[in-house]
Amino acid sequence: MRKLIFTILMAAAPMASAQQLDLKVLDKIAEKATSTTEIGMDEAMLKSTSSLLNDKKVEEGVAKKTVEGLKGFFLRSYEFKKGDFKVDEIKPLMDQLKAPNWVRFLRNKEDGEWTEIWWHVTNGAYDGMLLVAAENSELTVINALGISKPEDLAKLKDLGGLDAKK
Amino acid sequence: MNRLERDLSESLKRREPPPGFAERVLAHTFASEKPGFSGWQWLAVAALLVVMVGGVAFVREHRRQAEAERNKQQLMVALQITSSKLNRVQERLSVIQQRIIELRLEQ
Repeated sequence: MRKLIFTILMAAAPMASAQQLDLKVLDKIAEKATSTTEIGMDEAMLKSTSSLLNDKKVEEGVAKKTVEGLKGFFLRSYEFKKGDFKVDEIKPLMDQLKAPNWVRFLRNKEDGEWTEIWWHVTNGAYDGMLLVAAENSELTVINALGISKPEDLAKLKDLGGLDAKK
Repeated sequence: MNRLERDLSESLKRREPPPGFAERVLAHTFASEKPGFSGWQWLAVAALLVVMVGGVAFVREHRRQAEAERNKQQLMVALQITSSKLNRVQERLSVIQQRIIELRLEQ
């Protein structure tokens, strides 16, 4: 089977301290993935990248508005051969959410798909979000730092996901 | 003294140099001496340095731009994946909401 590996790894050391979660616990799962996408951007990188986005292009304009105020964006997305991944394997990640500053916003389990959205709270205010979407052959974890309200992400609807591009 | 000896003696006889010979030799010697860098040569060296420094700066800027463009692409990919997942969540919530409405209507 053709193994597709698409990995974007950026200098992680300075970012690790800024993260609200240790996503390195997913490294073991990543080893058996057939497709890997890992993106990590700290505030400085987001700001410098945001300045390159062209407002006149619809998608870039949406992206620019979305990243305004973000303090970090960390994404890990993996695809597996069927049966190679079990949801239980992300327990080390989910255990981190037992900390009192994490609040679950949504949990949905349906048709073998499992989705959770959590908010990170500091001094009574939201300042981060975690989205976990898992199924038998796919896992996506997104940690966005600096998001203060769910509406901040609503802008992304206009972006048209990767599915829309297929 | 044979003929060969006579020829040699004639050839090796001391002769006075032609008038102005010493001056001409000295003038030629000074003319062929290499002086330091001329103005044009300095200019060429300076131009070469400018080209070298400019070249290094150009390569650095090119690399910086390439890295920035790569970061931009990565950000767009990250946001598109996020958008896909959020749209999926919203679809599911809509279905759940629809079911709740249907259940209420049935009751």
